[in-house]
Amino acid sequence: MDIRKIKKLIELVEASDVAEIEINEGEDSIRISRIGSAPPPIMAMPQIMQTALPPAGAAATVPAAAAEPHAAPVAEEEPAHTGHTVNSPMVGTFYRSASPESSAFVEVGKSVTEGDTLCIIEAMKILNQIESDTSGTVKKILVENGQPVEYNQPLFVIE
Amino acid sequence: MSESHQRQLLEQLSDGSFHSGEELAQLLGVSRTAIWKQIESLRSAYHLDIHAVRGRGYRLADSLELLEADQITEALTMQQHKMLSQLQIHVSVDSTNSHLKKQMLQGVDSGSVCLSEYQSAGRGRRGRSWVSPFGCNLYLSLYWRFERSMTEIGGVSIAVGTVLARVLSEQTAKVALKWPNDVMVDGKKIAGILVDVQGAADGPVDAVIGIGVNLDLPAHASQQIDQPWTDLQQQRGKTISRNQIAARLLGELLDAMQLFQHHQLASFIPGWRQYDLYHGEEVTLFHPRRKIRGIHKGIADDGSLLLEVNGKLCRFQSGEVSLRGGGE
Repeated sequence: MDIRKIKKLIELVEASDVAEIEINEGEDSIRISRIGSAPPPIMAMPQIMQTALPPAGAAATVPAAAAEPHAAPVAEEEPAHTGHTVNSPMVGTFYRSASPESSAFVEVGKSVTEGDTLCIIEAMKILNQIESDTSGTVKKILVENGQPVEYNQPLFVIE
Repeated sequence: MSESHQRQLLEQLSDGSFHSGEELAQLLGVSRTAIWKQIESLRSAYHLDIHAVRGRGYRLADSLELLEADQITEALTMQQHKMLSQLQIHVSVDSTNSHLKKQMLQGVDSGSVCLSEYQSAGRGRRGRSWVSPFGCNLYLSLYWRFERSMTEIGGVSIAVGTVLARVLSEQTAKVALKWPNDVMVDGKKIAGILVDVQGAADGPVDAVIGIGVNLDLPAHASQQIDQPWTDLQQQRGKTISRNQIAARLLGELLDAMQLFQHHQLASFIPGWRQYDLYHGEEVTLFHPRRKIRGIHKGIADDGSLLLEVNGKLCRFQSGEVSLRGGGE
């Protein structure tokens, strides 16, 4: 990625109230975070980020897996959100709609009731329909369509 | 004309011999005009080649073996029979998974199975379609409720893939699995699986497991497939009974649900590894927003994909595997 582009991005993040931004462009990937420090630290991520183990994963049976690249930060490193967050119950790929042609299940500002479908997380070619565990208004959608997600990663803020 | 009328008409015609309009009209209790209209709709909706000859009647150019609930259930063991709560066989549905999912929301029991002769909107992953011509392949969906969490359910993909590969390898050689569960013969896809899951993250979860198997694809249908494909007829060179293979698959599938329910994904892993298509090969794993290159190291004990990337062993829960150099 072009250094000027990165500088521009940092300025953009500084000027906004965005705590953290992650951009993937082909094989390049960058994450700019301002959590807990100023000036915001820049962290260029390796190509592979999504490899955290599932909660009850068989880590012990695959010792080499422990040496895998460090995963993207999970829940505890995220900024505190006011309101209720809906977290990913698994590692997988996040989709906002049932298929590329159909419209998103929810948008920011939309009110949802408990049990409504918020997104699909695909893992092991299983399409898991993730339901809201609360009623309220969708305040934030924290993940982009097609992005890999970690176990317990916050996906939505609902108030 | 109702679905049952349509089914009756198809049953008559399935032998490939001539049936007069009058005979068919009498049998179904409708007019000869109604039969004529129905024949027209069978032709247009299902691409069925039905000859009409003045003075002799109608006949199907090729005979058909329609799916029969009795034939399928008779072949099940007592144990399998107990797990099956109902077996529906439709002439046509949008997709067996979509159909069963709707019924699931209306309260049908776990263990319900939906088979169809035709799918008007057969589904693959992420908006892709599954080409589903009439009366020649298998389109089967099973609804099962698991008292397990969503994360644990991931293993179902591996269990079902292993079962499907095993059943097909009884019919033909060279069956292999592409992670997690595409069934391939000679590098060409012969069968696919699509699982829809919903429920509470920590369980119970409702899974609808859809399976499509290419048994004997007609030319008009195969032209719509956008990836290398094959069917069992090509591989074996002789016809197989659709009812027989449906029964075999359903029985094995029910057994697999029972095993999986009792926390025995481990019992499927060695089977899966036996069919591992790309083991040791350089592959690319495609995600919507990135791709990862590595050496295929098979599957971990939880069914996730193991790739050696820059000398490190990594595991993955999603993505499409291709041989290196192959694109998506």
